Amino acid sequence: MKTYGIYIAYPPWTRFEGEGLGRFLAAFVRGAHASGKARFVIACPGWTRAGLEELFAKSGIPSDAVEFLAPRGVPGVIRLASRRLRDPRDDGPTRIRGKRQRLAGMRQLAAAVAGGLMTSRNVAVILLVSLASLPVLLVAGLVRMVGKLLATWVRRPLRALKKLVASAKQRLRRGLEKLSMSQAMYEAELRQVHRLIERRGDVTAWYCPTAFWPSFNRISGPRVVVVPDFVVSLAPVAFAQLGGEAFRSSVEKIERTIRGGHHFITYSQHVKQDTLVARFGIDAQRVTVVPHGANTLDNVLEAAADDGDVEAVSARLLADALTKAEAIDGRLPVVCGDSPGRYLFYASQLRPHKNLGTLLKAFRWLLDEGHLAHRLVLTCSPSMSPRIQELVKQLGLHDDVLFLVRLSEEELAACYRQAELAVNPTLSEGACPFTFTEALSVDTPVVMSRIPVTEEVIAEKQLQAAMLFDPYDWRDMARVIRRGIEHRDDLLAMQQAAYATLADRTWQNVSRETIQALDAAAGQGAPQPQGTRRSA
Amino acid sequence: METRRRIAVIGDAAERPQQRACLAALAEVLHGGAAARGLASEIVLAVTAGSEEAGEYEATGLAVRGFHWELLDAEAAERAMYYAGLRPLRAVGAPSTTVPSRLFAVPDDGIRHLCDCDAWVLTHPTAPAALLPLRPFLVMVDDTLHHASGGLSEETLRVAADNLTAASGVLVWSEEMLHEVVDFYGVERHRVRQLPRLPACGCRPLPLGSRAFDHHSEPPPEQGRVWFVTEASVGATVSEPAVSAVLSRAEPVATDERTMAAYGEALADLL
Repeated sequence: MKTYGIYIAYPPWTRFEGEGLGRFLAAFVRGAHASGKARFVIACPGWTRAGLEELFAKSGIPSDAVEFLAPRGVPGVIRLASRRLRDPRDDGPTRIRGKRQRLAGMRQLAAAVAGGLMTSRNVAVILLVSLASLPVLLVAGLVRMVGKLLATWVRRPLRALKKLVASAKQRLRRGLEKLSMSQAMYEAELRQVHRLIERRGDVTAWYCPTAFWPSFNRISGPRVVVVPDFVVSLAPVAFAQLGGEAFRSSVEKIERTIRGGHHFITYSQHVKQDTLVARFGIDAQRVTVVPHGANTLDNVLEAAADDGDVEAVSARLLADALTKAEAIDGRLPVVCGDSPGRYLFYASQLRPHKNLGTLLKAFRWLLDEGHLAHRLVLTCSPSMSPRIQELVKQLGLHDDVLFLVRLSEEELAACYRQAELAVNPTLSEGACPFTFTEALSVDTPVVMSRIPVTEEVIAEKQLQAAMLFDPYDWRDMARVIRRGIEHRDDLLAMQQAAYATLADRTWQNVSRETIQALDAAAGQGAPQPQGTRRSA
Repeated sequence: METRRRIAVIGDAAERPQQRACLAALAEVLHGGAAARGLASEIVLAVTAGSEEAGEYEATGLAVRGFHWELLDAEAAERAMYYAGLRPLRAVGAPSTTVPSRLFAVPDDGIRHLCDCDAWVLTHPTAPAALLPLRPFLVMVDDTLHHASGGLSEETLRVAADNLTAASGVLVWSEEMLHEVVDFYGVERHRVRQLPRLPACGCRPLPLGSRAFDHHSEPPPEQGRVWFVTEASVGATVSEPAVSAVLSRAEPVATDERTMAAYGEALADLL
């Protein structure tokens, strides 16, 4: 049995258990373990281990299925810190510039010492070293200040003093900000993780489930990184307005991961060709496409229905979900009883490429001209987008759109099941949206965007014509939605045949193909690792 | 199989029926011209938000989207260029981003800021700020001589100059306009292409003494200069000597093959 490595490098205080990546990882490991042909070591920072163990336990993965390669325990600073202290600006690769570069050596030394201190598992040591270093820091600061004063005093004393005061103020602010030292701590922890990785000689190939961590490229063995998508290029303006320079820094990390990568996995041909080959110039031979397995929700509802009455439990879960509606300007749609009535359902986060604005326009038209008396139920928070709030108000949809937030998986399944029609107007995804299998698993038909990743999976032309719309044209979207409602049973019957085929693809298939990609990477030899000094 | 290219014809301030007819005719001739050149194309007519339901546009059968201008500061503009996989603004010859107050305009169609289109055709050089060059673009100029009348602010003229110089090409309808673009705005001659004027956008001279400008606050046109006004400007007195152009009230008519070919060639160069 071969051993494969999984690389995880979340910064401290990151919640990943309930997120897509966490669920994907659990499905992958479970699938691979079930095959009985692979074992895994998971390399991760100390602060991630407990979360992963919990995630795997909840997912029914036996504790002996994976081995952890993590620094022992959790840094004392993390235990001391009651909340996240990270300064997002510290993430940027462009932070070290100009004057600071002249003192690069000293700073590296200081960062190494600080990193060592920050990753110390002993709280007493941290406190003692911190106290002991205070006088040294004070004297150093004083010496520097006097030196500066003397140097400038001869020329323009008053100006120098003002400058010095301003500089001291700025340094004090920076120093306070840097008390978090989370980046140094993160780097120091990763160095420990990589030391552990280097000691393992039995790993066939390393796998990284996301492109967020350029430090993955420091591994000297064969490695494969997953690039799910690169959506910022799709809506550059909207993403430029979202998150500012900190977000750009994250995108730059993805770019560094890709540019320094060796072998890649994408979930679709589209991302392989358009992103990796066309934009980044990656050799297509180094990219393997491993489509997702089917995400289904029928099992979730069946598990929730103790007495086997799935319909009753769905109705109850929907009523629970309705209590989680989020208002716009304090206004919530009036819901009679425990049901929103007939409704269209779109389960999605609120991101620029999700194309909610076009769906709202189409929905307004359907209410006005399409003789629809439905509601639109969404699973995102309107507070994430003033633009969407404004559009809802502008279109007069206050009483017609429900934003249900923080739904459990059971509630999500119930929302799908009770919907008249599931809709997905997205402009781009890394793979065919889960909407298709999720909705059909609970017998709800779906209409979706005509985008390349969808056409890869829904290849039958007749079915495409019945269920796909141009996501850039709200009129076409409205037309396909109306037709989907009017011919709901026909659409469902057509889609069930396609669903049956897709549902055959399990996460065990995904795990097997991923392992084949890892073996292929191992067969092509180890790449040159990148310098370990590079910031992650 | 040849990839179908999507081109946005961006018509800001197309509020009046005559302007809408001209814009629709322009979109149609670009579509026909592309086909004549063997280019598989799809034209998206981007018009001022709220006017997209106008009958003139519907008659074309082309995709119509409403849009409004959105402004980005220099930092956000650089990020957008980076996310789009383009070189930094300075490297592509866009106006300097070293001025912190510098703003850039992007057409917001509520979807992807028209970034689903392969190229843009701007039907007028003015915008609230310099256009962020997320796509290669052409600029059409139909009334550049209005600067001589003093009717436009310095800022508007600067933005027009920025857009004309940053454009992949400039399209004009007359020799006078061509010289104006080259001499006043400093656009290189080889980037300016003179095309046949479309019937729907035809010009006619205004009789001397007629009113051309309806903004009374505007100073009178400079004496001795040749100038053009648009239909939007009709109302003020035309000073002597003046060659005036207004948008014709004629209904759009079919354009001939030569016209189609000329527009198709301009589009082919852009793509």
